[in-house]
Amino acid sequence: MDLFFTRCCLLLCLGLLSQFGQCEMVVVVSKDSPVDALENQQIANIFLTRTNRYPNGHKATPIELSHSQIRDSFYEEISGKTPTQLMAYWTTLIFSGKGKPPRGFGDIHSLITRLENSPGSISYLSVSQVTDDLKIVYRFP
Amino acid sequence: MARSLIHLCCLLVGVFTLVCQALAEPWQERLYVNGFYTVDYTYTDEDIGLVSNNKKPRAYDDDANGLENSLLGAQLEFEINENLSVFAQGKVSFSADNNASTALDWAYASFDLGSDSQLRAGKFQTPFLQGTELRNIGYTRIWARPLIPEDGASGFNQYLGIEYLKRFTQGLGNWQIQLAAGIGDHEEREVESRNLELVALRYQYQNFWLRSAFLHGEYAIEDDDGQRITFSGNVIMASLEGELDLSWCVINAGYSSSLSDITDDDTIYYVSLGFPMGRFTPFIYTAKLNRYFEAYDPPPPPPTPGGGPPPPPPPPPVGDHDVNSVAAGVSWHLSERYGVKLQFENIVQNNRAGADTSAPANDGNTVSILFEGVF
Repeated sequence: MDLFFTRCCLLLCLGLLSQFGQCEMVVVVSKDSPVDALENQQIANIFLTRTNRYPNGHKATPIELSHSQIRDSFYEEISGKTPTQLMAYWTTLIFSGKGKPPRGFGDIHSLITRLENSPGSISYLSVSQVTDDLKIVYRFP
Repeated sequence: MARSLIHLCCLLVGVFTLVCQALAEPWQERLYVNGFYTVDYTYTDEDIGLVSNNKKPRAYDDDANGLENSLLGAQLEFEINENLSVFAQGKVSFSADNNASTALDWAYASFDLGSDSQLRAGKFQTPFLQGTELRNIGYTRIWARPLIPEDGASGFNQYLGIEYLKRFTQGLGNWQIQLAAGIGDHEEREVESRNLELVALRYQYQNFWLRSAFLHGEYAIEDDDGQRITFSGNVIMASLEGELDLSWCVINAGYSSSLSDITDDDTIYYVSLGFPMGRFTPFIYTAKLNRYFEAYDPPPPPPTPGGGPPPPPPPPPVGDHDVNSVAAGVSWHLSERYGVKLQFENIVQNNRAGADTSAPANDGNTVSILFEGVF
């Protein structure tokens, strides 16, 4: 009985750890970017296209994976919006010409290549996807 | 019309030239394509005029139903380089007799000046109330129909001109300033629009936004016989609109007022409550439109060929024309990009002014079912 209980606890811990690993998101820029750190609100302003500038004045170009498991969590974190609410937000901007969502990339390799080669680009990834040529500017708590 | 075509041709030639220069890099990455659609089935129990998505008033016969509020639209945006882009948006809409009509609603070039500011030139929709800019895109609202009538900005719903946009953030708040000047394009053929100037401010603080706009327009106007009534009529308009998202309830409210020479003075206000419950959002709203027709002295009628006394002109309307609307319904998001709406609406009209309306000014009830989305 004790062995069974211990195994259950271990499985539960492993499950939680694996879940935590999947959800750990970071915001990244190119290693060559002049930006070193950002705050949550600054990230929200960039990804919701309320500004196209970093705090230091350089142009910011948010990009993302078109279909990503962490996309919904990311926007929930920065804006509190559900996917449907977020789509409603984008729709009002898109069709009045006042903004558009970050450009979506079809696969992670294209996204990372763009991030590495474009100092103005910024995106969010799982921490396990960060390469040596990228710089983490924000970690979600 | 000819002037619009010339502007559009110049814009397209300029775009083509710049596109040719820009083809050194993959053009697919610079092109953004979006679209929107509405399929609307509406039943009314009286002859009644309803506000439409496509700016044209639509008249329904009693016990009739139809799909004439339906439309399909598309938008293209092309980034010529990091700072310059061009944008065009148009639609195809369908009338009761199955005729399709097309319209180009937006066509402009935009230049990023840096520091979150933009300069744009071309054709725009008036950012008076949100419903005037986003009238065609039903998916942006929870209601079945726009709450703003077809001549929402006193008929000055679009213009050719230049715009300056500036955004800045202040703590958790975000500001957007829009300054515009140009030549208005009035809905009525008798109104020859001249200058138009506009200032719009939008403030967003987390789940709350407030927007205000001020507009001045100048126009010439003729009566039905082609007699010039004034060469320099003026309209001054102001609007205030906001949304507060309390998570369990979304409150929208808007108010606008216009004072104009010769044409009617309009007041619009609306309040709506939406109650998000997952994919379903039940809603209620009330909206009121008041048009006030002020007395004026019409010009003397032209002499008749026989030399006899000319027939007296019909008296211009004087007084109020009110349209009151109360509605309840539910919006159901089937996915992030499309959904269904069901709405019941009661409309009460009071045309004390005897104004000549393009659609029947009766009271009535309507039921609408819509399938809407964006892509």
